[in-house]
Amino acid sequence: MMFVFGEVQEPLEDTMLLVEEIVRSQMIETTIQAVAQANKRGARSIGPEDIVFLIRHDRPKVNRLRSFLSWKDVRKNVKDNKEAGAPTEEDMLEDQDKPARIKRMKVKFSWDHLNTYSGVLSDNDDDGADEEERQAYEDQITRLRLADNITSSMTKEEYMYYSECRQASFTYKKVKRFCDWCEMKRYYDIKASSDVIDILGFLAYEIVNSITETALSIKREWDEEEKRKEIRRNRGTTSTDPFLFDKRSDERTPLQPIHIREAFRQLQVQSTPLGSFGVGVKRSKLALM
Amino acid sequence: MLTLARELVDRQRWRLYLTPAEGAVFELAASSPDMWAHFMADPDACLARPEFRAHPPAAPPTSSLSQRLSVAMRIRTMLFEQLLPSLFGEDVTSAVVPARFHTPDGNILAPAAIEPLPASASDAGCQTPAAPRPDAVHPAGSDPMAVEPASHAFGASSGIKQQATSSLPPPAAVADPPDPGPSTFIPIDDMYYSLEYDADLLESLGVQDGDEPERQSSNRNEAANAARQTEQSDSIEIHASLKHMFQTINARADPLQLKSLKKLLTEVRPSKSKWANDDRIGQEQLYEALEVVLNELKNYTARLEHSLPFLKPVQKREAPNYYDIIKKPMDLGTMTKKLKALQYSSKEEFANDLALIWSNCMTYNTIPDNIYRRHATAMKRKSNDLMKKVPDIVIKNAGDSDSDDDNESKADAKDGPKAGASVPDTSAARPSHQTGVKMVVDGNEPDTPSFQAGPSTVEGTSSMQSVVSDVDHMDTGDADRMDTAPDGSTAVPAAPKPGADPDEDGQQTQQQQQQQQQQQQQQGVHEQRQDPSDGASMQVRHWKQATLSFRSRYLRSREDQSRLPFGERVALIRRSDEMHEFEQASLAFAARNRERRLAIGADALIPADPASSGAQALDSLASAAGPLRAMPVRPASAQAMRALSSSPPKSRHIRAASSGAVPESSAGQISLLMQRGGSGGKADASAPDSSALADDGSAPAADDADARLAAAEEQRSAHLTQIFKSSFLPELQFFANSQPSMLPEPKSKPGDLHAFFSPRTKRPGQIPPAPPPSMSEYPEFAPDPHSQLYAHISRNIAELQRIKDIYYKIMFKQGSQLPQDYMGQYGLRYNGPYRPLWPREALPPMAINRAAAASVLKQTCGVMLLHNGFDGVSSTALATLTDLATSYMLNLGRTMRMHMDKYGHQMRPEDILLRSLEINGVNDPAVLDTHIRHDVVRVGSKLADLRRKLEIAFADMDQAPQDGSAAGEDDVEFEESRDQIVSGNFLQDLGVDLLGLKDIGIDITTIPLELWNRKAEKPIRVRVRRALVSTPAADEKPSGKYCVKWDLAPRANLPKMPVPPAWAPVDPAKQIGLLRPFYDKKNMSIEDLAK
Repeated sequence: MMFVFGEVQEPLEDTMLLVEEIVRSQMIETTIQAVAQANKRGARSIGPEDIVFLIRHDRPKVNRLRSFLSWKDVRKNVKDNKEAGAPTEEDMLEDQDKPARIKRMKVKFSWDHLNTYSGVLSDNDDDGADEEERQAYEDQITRLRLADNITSSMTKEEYMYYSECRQASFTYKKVKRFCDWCEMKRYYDIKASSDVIDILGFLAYEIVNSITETALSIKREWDEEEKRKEIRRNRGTTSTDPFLFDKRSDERTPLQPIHIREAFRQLQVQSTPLGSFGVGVKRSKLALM
Repeated sequence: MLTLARELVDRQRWRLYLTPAEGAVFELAASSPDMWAHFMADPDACLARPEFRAHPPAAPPTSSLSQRLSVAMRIRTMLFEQLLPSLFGEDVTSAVVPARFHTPDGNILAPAAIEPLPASASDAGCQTPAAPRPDAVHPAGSDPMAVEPASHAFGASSGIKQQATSSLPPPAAVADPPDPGPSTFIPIDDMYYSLEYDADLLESLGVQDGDEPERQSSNRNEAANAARQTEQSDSIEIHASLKHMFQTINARADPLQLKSLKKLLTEVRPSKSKWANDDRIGQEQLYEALEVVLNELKNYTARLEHSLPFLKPVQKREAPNYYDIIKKPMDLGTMTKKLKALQYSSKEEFANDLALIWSNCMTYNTIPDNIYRRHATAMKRKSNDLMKKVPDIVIKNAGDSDSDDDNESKADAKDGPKAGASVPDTSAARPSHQTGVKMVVDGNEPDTPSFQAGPSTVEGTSSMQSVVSDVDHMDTGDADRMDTAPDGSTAVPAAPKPGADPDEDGQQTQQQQQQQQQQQQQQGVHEQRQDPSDGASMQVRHWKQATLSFRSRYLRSREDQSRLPFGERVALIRRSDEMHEFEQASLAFAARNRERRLAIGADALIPADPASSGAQALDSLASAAGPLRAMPVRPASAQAMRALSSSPPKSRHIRAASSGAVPESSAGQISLLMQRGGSGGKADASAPDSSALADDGSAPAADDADARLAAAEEQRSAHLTQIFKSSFLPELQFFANSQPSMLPEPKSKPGDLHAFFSPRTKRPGQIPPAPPPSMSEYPEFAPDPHSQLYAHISRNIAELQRIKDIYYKIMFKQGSQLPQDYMGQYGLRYNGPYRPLWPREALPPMAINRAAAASVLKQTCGVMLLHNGFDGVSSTALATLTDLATSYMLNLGRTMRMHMDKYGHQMRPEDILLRSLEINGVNDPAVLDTHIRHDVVRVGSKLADLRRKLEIAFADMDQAPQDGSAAGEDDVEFEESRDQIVSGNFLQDLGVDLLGLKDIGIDITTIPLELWNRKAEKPIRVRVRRALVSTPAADEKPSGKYCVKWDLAPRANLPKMPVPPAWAPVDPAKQIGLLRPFYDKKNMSIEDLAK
């Protein structure tokens, strides 16, 4: 998964373990907080909204999550249609005539107070063109572009590997393993619904994403810093002619755990402005990234 | 006389009558006794006196004789008017008392008081709690003015003047107030109460005097019980649905109309069933009931199919000897046939037939165990039950009078004793009991207005019975006797029934029907009478109770008046001082209302339910009430300044009064209000005067209360300061036309203004001070007109409100339940920023203290909450939010301060600011901008869209809903095309590559076909494309409008904090021996780290 985000093809073992550990702790924290949310609602089971509520401040992530969820619906509907037996193409063609369309469900959150008012509207009026959706779309395009940049110089095998890695997911077809791995039973003994599992998987993916990218940028900075220091140190003495056995200047070193740790620290900044100038010890909680 | 003049001078009452010049003359004249005597004797000569000449305004040098005389004349008239009450008796409203001329020997009846008359007599019995009395009896369209007898001679006036009795007792200091009322202090807001509401009250009270509420209610209860019991017998309520309409009609229509109405109504029966027949009276009812019974019996196949054997005539095949034994066969089928053939003319016949069936069965089937017998018993039981519900009507053909009377009397004879017994009757006699209570045919009393048709209840059970027996006797006669029922002699149910025909032939059945209707109506009336008292708020109930006697008296007097021919009634004359007082009262009323609403509303944004927020409202009302007690009529700014500089201690007293803290002043208040409510005609005092009186009376007692109040008041005023910044409520429409010069809604500013007010300068005659202005008057606090952000927010809030309106309309139309606290258009409205109403010079200098700042912040928080869709917020929540905001800002400030202190020389100010923001949670100034863009501007457009959609949906609601699925597609396409046309993008659907995928770099051929044809995506993609194309201002970058242009690079380049001094490593060798091992251990780890 990290490869997708820009890492080298084989990250270090330590790095991977560390990332995995971070993700695990984040999952546990998410579970605990989601259970708390559900309790506040008075329900026993976690719903998707509980989890989304925890990350509601991160607008782009929420948007991405929404598109993710609606895609899921589409996929499900298509599967149902497919099971009806008709071949795919005909299905698609018929879709235009069939009254029962595959409609992408708009995921509405309950803290959007405007949603209550659009509740009386029939869904036909729902011409998205939401700013949100637009923004999400934009982000997606950007990411695609980046990915394109990365993969444009890959060989075929590399690209195959790359696309495989892209599909890596924490929860695809390994729900049970996932639940065991993040010890969900300890904190939430009901069997989580598939929606919830999907969301958690999505969140894990996002966490890896953010950590990796942050770590990479940190590494880049530090490397630059190093290089500059080197140059300063060896101001006069080095020649600018490249050595034959020099390290390839553009070869990338894998991420070190220290980068990951620094990235984690940076992402964990929790500002509690109301807490400053107060007295007493402040308990620091794990922040959901 | 001189005293009177002095009083007038002191109170400046002359201002109501005289011009300033004349006023000056008057004052001069009244300045000394001999001057006055001279003036009285010979005004003209007096005016020529040197003192007058010396006084420039008094005697303009060119005053002609006519002018001087006119001055004198006017002064005289004024004095005369003042003396009217004394001359012509106190209780001028009630009696049709001819003018009592005073004899030339000048025995002027000592005027009780020209100033506020103590609880003028009519209200002595009224126990009003200490609260603003409803002065709305005035505007209720009644005529509470003084009664001026038709004849009063001007000569009387001259007589008066010559007989100046110096023994005019000084006006009574204070009205001796009635007991302030029950200890349970129930605040009564001003009520709007029209006398029309009292129509039924009148009926209930009748002509008697001073009914106590308890007795009345007990009477009412009894009557209600009686009515209810009779009610139970009616299974068919023909006019039940029109009950209330009839009541109102009866209450309001005049007799002639009523008659015709009744006729009309009898002809137009609402439920013309198939049995309706004008010739056979009662047929409809009876037959319907019988039909019901029959059907029930026929369908009585509970478990064992009891009815089956009885449905058809017994067949000879089944029972060969049946017809030998049973001579009169009967069955349900035959009965049905008979019913359809209209062969039944009474319940009895029907019942007989039924009984015949069962008895036949019993006769024929002698074996005790027989299944048929069991069926029959079951059926018999059932039929008994059912028959109880059938009204005992005997069908009479129209025009059949004599037999009626016989029948009637027969029925009466049967039921008479029963009716005469205790009022609640047993069920058997229920139908006949109806005959016992009859109505008074209203139409036969043309003189009396319908509402006076007769009071319904009298005191005491015995009278109720006597009523019944009375009416009984009446009953034996014909309807004629009913006409002569003396008003008020019997307690007869109030509303005459619509079914009552004035024709005296009153067939029994018709009467019965009428009685039924009447019973219903009576009960309905009773219910209605009880209902308002049950359903209304406690305040209303309390007020009604309290004012019961007054209202009854007043209404009675009105009745008496209306009985007289028009020419002889008491005339209603308007007097200027009364009008003035009325105006004052209405101003005060408006002010109280508004400020109360505002207080409730601002006691933060609570949807105002007066009953629920009573305590709170009272609190804020109490504090707010003071300065607004009396308002000047013309708020010219000069006057306002003067008013500002005069004292509010008077107001404080009144405030005390209104909060009930000080009994005396409250008493004064009561007296003030009671006169207003009571006699109406007599009280000469205007509000300020009486408030001064209240002051007088309460001055000593209020002193210590004052200190307490001042402290409490400060708090409360701080609490209420910013309430009115945005005018949340519309002005009371009532006063829009009549008093265009209403003062704005002001509130006292925390603390500061009191420095301006000199304590306790009592200038009683002066027009009371204007209330201090609120903080929103200051332009510094007004929202910056150039601020687009604020404009956006206000717009959003307005949009949101409109959306809510439409949404609730839709919900309502759909029939879903509206939330309880929705106030509709009477709820809190955000009308945009406050529009200051005072000129800047009139305002005291602004001083911001902590409380003022807090209230400004509070208001801002309120605006934010509104913007986020909240309808209201509890005051504690708002306070908490304000506190949080305050502490955040303080923290931010402290951070900045700290940085400035420490790094002021090393960091640039912008850097310090950025750093402080970062510490306090704003990682990047772009965050603020994003927030504004997203949460304000985009929300605005979203709201507009939403509103548009809701409006369309609402408009479409009446049309047939379209087929959702099929229309969806069309909608999409239509919308697309519409937007295309708008944006000029016509070629969307022509080619594939117009989707612009090339720009992204995606090669078209690599996209699987599936994705192209997915309908689900198409909308978003197309629309996104469209949106991208058509909105050029895609707002990628922060527009400089909302934030300072930050030319600093993002986070990575944030100013680095100056590096703290390096931490020198500990040299273990230099540490004390005790710590050596510790450092040794540490050393090892340090070494490890260093590797």
